[in-house]
Amino acid sequence: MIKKCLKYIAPPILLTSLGEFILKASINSYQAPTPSTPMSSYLNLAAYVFSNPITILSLIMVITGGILWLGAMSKFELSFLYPFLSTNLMLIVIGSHVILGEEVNLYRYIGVMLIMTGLVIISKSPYKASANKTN
Amino acid sequence: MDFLIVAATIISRTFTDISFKAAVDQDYTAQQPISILTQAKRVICSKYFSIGLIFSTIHVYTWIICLKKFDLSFIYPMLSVSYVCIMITGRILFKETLDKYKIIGMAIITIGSILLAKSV
Repeated sequence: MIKKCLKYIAPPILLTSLGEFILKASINSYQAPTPSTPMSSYLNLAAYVFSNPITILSLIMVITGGILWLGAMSKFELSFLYPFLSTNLMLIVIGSHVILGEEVNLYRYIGVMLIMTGLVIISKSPYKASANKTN
Repeated sequence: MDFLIVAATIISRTFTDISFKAAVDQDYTAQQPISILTQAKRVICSKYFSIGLIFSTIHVYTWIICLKKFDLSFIYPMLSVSYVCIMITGRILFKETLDKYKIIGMAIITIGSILLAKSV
């Protein structure tokens, strides 16, 4: 069971978080070429993201993570899988403090913990999509 | 402006998922069993799939702007609000059931995201 989890659930979670860290880090290091209006500076930023190999790689990692997550959905029950979304949140918050050096205050930790609790409660819902196909 | 860009990111993500769900759902009306390839072709050719692609393109752009403007530890958890939006939209458009677990979970996620918004 643990082996199956490591094989199907760990890769999408790690790929998504790692991809987001790389994307955020390279956007942080991006310097706008000249002082310009907000709109054109955002277009420049988008052009940078879609032309830089590192940001393209990070986008591919996030998208691959999403596809692998769909694969995991076919192997496990959704109610078992959903709490792992909270693992993703925790990894992102701790990682952005440790790797990206962001300041995470108490409000943010409590807010994230509440969201994680909410996700776990939603996953306890007994409703199954397949049981309600009346239309 | 800050609020608008976060709202646009959440709404574009909600409608991406809703459109793809609508594209996949169309197939349930099929009477006889069909192959996985035909099924995939039907999903990709449906108009909801193209609408989903448009919304996901908008989502990528707004997400990049969000990453520029905010901390990752703030904006990534903030997007959990889209789960609440998806459940409400699913209730309205697909007549999905909302039981007490989902309503309590939605309420807790909303309170958590209010605290997150206070943390900036």
